[in-house]
Amino acid sequence: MARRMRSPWPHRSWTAVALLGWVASTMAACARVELAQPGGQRKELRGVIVLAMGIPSDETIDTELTEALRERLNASQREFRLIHPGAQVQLQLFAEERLLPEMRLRTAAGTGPDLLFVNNTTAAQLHRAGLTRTVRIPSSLRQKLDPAEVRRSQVAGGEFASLPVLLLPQLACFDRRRLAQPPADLNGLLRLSGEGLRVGLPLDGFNLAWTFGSLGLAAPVEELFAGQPATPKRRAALGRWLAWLKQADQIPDLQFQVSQSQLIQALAKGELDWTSCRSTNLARLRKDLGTHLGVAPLPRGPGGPPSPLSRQRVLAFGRNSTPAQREVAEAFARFVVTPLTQRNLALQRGEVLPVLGSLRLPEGRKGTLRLLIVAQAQARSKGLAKALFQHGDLEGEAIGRIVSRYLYGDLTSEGAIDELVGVIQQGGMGDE
Amino acid sequence: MNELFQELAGWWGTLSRGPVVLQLLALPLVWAAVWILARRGGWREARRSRTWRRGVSLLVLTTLTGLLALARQPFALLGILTGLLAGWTALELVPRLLAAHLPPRTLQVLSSRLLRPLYLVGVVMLLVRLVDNPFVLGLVPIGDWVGSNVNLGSLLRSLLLLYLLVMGMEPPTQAVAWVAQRFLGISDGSRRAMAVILHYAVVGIGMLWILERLGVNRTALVAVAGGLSVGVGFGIKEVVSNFISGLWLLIEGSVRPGDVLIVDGEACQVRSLGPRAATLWRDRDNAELLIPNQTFFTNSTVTYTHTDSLRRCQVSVGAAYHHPPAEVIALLERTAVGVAGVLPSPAPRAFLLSYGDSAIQYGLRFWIASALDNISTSSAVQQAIWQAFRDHSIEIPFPHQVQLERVIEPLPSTDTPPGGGEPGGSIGEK
Repeated sequence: MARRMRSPWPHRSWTAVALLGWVASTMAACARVELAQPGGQRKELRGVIVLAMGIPSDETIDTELTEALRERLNASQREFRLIHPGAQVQLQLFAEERLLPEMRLRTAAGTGPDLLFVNNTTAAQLHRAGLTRTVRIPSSLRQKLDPAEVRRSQVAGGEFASLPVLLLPQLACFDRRRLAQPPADLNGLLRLSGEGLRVGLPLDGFNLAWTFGSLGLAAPVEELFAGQPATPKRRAALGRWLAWLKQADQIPDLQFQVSQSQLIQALAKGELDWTSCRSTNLARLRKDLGTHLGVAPLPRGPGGPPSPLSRQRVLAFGRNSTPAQREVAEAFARFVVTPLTQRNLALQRGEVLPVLGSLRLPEGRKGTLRLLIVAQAQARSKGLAKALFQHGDLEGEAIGRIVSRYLYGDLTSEGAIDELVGVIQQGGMGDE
Repeated sequence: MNELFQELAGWWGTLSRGPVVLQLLALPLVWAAVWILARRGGWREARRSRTWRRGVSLLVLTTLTGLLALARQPFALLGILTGLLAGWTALELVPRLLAAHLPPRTLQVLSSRLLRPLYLVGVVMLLVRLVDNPFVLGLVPIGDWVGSNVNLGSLLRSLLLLYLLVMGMEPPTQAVAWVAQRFLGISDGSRRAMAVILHYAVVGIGMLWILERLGVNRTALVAVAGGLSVGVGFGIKEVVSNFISGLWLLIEGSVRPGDVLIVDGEACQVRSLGPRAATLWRDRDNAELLIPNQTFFTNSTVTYTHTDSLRRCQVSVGAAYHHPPAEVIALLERTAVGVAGVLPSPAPRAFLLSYGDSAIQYGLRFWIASALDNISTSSAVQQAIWQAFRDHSIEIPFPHQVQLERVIEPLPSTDTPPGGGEPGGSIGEK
């Protein structure tokens, strides 16, 4: 009787199924970032990852900025490499508005960055375009984050498009040689400008949104952004805003500039005396103006405190990384949201605020840090941040163009209000 | 520079990814596979050509790109590489398309010095864009040069501009000179000289502009130039001397491209005046002579094209003594007028030069329009003279050599009585 031949692979079919299952589960895991601390014995991470940093349109990419950012990343990396000596993070800079097409090309080529450090709105755009992986933030970490900031990064399914890392509040910067004390309110600002103080205001909606709060218009504007109908009351609010801008434009020494970066450069050169600024501009201004740089919260107004918008900087995760690069990227992300790193980032330069709501900072140590906390509190008190600018700087730029046309007389007040309502309620602004 | 190396090292993380390596290797692998198949796979002779092989490679690469896209794998790098290869192939067609409109040398220069280098620069920029931001990469500082902070971008841009100035400005300057010739009616030589002077002027101004763009401190530059001038004076004085001589020749107009000069007794045409040497073409053996520019300053130069391009030629001929010289002279002048290439004005002139041993020597002088046609026109004139003399029965005598042989008798012996006979013998003609 012939013996039945035994297969050398007795469980071949089961092996294949198991293999397929492993591949499928690996691929599923690859599509999502798990930020939970891996248990067991710590694995030695090795490899070079690329961190692509988006530079918002209110900053200019030049040698000075590049060197400053590299220096800061190196400082963080030195601490990171104490934990993972074999891991290295390489910085690449991109203009934030050019990031989406660049990432499309590079992701399709397989050369996309491993990490992206961008505004939360840009991260949401990248995620909608399928260029980044979702993040699963463990509840232990989520509880430490500011709930408002967490909500801004949330996408469908309870996952997140990105991991919040830092906040960049908006302030007022001025030249102490020309102005001993900053104006406390909008009327004071206009009066001083009428007396010869050179004031600069940006012609973009994102950086000009603080005036909504000062003029008492934050609530109706927020309602418009939330998609509520443009009632006469809400249209009147926009009309009052435009009227104030027109009034400001009549003052010879008050100038509107298309971009915030132009205003910062003018202040640094001594061509301006007062302008709004972002906390990340402080390093450059300090270098140029030294002790003459004055920093203050943005002025209140007849309607109450201002409504500045903080930029939320987040980490998003690229799709092309190898497993080893993913591990390094996730480890680096976990590293930057540890309380120690967050505190160091906030205290080392006094230009950024941590996203860990529970983190207590020594406010008295640095004056600027205290101002940042005040500005962030102002930003949080108004609900504009959540409703406004869900699609990045595009809406801000569109609003700026309408204001510009209105100030140059190309649009009537009613025409400008119609256009503003259109931009606000269309929301997308040509976004993907 | 450390930052640059760090940046380049950072590319390794991206380039070492599996899908990227696969796309990068696909092109050379497909190329090699097609080449091997063409050589050993029994392809017909006609299909082994480079064009065929490249076409097949492009087809395979396009298919591979499509397959990667369908499999939802990274594909754009391979697609871009395939597109670049197709672009390179298309670039090779440009000279063929322009062959009817441009001379071969111009086409070769256009292709090898302008189109291909520019294409390669574009390729590098595009590939760098896939792993980095070229603009930010350009901000990497290289160092302080002559009071200026030079970064990688400004340095590469300056080098590219300089290359374009030197290599790419020749056609525009020639076009300007051509327009000037059309409107001002200047000669061909002046047009060529104008083109060269304009080219040097544009390159010179462009170099100053590039240094200005780089932010080079002018005072420091003047100081460096002053220091260098001493070294230049000793080290490369011949080169500088030749360069200055070339410029001066062009400005003065004593030697210009197109001129015909006599070098070592041979008529040569000036093809070009380079920064160091002039290139002359010799008709006799189609040789090109490279003559240092300063030679024209230190040696006397014979030229036929300084004020006009006419050349007076002369041929000599002998006629028998019994022909009246006036008839011969008239015939010679009439004959020269009928030869192609001999100018009717100034009219050919014949002269009686001398009375020779066997013939009267005549010289026929005539004018030609192109100095380089001396040999061919003189030959034609001499043939016409031979024919005319034959038609008119004019003899061209030639010397007759008469050899006399004399047999000398042996001397008589000493015992011969005095007066006993003559010492000579018979004389015969051979």
